[in-house]
Amino acid sequence: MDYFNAPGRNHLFVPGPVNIPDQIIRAMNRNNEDYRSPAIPAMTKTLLEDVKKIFKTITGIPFLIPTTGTGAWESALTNTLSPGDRIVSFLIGQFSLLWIDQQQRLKFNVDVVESEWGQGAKLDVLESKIASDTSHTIKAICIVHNETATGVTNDLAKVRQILDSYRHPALLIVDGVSSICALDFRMDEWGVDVAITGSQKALSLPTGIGIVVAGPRAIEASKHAKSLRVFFDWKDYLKFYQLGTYWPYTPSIHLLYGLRAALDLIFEEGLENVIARHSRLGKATRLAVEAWGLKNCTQKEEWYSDTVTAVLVPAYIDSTEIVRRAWKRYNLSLGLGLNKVAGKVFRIGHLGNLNELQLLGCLAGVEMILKDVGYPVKLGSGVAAASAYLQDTIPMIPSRI
Amino acid sequence: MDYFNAPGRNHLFVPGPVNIPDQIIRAMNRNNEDYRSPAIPAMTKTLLEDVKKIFKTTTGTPFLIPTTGTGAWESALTNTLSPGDRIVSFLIGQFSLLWIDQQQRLKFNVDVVESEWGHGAKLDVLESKIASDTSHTIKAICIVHNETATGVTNDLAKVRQILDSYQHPALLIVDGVSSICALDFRMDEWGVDVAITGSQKALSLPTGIGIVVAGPKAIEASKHAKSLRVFFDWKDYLKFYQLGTYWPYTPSIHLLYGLRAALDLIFEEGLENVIARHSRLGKATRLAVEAWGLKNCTQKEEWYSDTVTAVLVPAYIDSTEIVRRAWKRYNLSLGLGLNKVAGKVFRIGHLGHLNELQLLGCLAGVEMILKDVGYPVKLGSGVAAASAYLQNTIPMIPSRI
Repeated sequence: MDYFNAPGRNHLFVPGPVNIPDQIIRAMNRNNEDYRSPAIPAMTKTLLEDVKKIFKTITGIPFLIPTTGTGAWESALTNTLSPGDRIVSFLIGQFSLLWIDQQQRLKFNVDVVESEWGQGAKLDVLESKIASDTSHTIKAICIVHNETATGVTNDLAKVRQILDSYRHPALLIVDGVSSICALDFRMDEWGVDVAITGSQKALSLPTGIGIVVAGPRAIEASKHAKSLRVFFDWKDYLKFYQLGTYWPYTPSIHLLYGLRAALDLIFEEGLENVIARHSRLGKATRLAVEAWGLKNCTQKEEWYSDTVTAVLVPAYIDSTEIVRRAWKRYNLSLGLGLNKVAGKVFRIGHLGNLNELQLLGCLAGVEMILKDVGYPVKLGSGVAAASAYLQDTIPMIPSRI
Repeated sequence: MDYFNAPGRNHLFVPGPVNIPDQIIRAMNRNNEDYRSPAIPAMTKTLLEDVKKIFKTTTGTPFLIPTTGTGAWESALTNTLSPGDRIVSFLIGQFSLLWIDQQQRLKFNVDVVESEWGHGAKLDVLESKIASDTSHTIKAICIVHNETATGVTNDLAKVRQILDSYQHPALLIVDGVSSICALDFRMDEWGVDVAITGSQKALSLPTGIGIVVAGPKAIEASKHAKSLRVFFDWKDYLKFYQLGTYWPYTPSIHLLYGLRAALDLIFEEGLENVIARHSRLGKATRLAVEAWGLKNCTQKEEWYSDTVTAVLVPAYIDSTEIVRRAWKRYNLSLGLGLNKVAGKVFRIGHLGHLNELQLLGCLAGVEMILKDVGYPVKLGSGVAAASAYLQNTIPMIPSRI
């Protein structure tokens, strides 16, 4: 049986891990297999080819590393940079902070550009740093595409435009953990050199694959990088790609079959339709928050995230109590406010395999919780605002027309 | 992959089959086993003992027949009655109609007491029939406890009171398919002689077990009944109970393990708490229907069902279009209006393992569908009415306090 059992289905609305579709659960419901048998390389080959599509790259080389998003970060850094190399990183929330912490602990020279939590990366500061870096000491820009802690999405096209306008050769390394397969991500068009994501976010799998896609410039850089790495070394993977057996060590058989099912589902729905669905869910959530009279932590519309909404609560309310109440009474899992925004925000995750009625059930629950903690919400107001928008925008299900 | 795939989770709100909890799904995720091994009798023994608890009987003998609710009906009739025997049955909706059809096809002499759909059984007519049956030609009362087609619940205590007040020996045979484990059911207290349910209703299992519990009077009657039966014969089961191997033929190993998990979940939540939860969901649904300005098919409050609500739509709306729209656009499954009420009602099932936020997501979806088909619903009105009631009544989750 489960621990902390509750009736009905748990409503999983943290921004990761996310709900896993039954088809993916079933694909992973299997015994182990010999990863040196012909079956696994054959499947791996299809996965590597198809993963490029969700990153929108034709030139990138993917690595499916049995790790988490944090491990994918480390792989991206240690394969392309040497200790002491200068990095520009943007501290805008908890996850960008953690990545910077990792960069410092790996002995890179990190130039931290800090924003208030709820704001995006200060690209004007980036521009002035790039403009003055005539000797090209900056080796990489490390930027989180979507900051999960605050619900802020950065403009990567703008970063590329800045680098190109100054003809700066710095690598562009992007954390797409809470964006890829939910928000639009154009690796080749934006000239992203390394892009990463984790399996437990919009791909809707269990934790356990850190997906890293390296562009040609990053592969070239990896030949000269002096950072120490073995487990995360791309070179070992490339050697086994050449050999046609793909795996330098044992992968999770289950997650590979799960990834196959996940990609099939994404292509069946259509990546553009997946992105549009996330956009609808994000907009619906923001409309509800506005109807409740609460504020979005995201301070400018241009930074709104369609994968997570961080909701600011008034000073007399502890947002942690909202999360706790959701779990204890409503079988609902909401994201906590982290670090600087602890107690000040709660987060509604709306990414992965999620449909509109699931979200509306969550929003109705949040209304009851707000009332439980003494906030004067008008019951039904947020749900009505979201429903009114969704009723105009939800497409028919193509397989059922 | 699935047929007719759609994003997110399907919202299953037909009144059967219902959502299966993950714990039950996992319990059934197994290979086959030898049903003549010591393991299966050992488990079966515990199941037979525990099933009595959900029927609230200490004297009844359960049979776990690998069949559906319709098969359980047939087992109840053929084991206790002989062809030509006089039965009083109540036609109040589609499922009671189907049972009467079965009774007639098995050559019983059925005295049909008919009500309008949306009404309960006419117990005054029953009383007059019992009063005038001084020679006790009526051998059985066959009554559906909860008519799934109309959302009507009959008062079984009243039936027993009528029989007792006239000292009439007729057997009381009750269809509890859409009531047992959701509504209160007191087999011994109400003097029910045979009670049946199906695994795919409130027990929240796949279809495949027709559960029949026979009281001592019914077991006695089965020794004299001349109806032909082999597959459904209780005598074969009783023989194998004596032998300690329980099964006269092969059971579904998976459904037995599933039933074990289902019973464990029910006892963990507490049967009275399960009943209270269904009462909350039923009341919340009726409040929403009222807020929408629509009518409940159930004509009197005393007949309201807490497992299904049949919603009448205005004449200019085809309720079948509501069900179709739910499936095609919202990934929501609602019950059709059947037979006499086809096109006039749609049904919202609220039984089994279901929590409040799941229901609220469904209600929010129905609001959008009503707007889609041109009904002037005020978005959020039904959700607000339901939420206001639920926010006052939802208990904390005991495992999480």
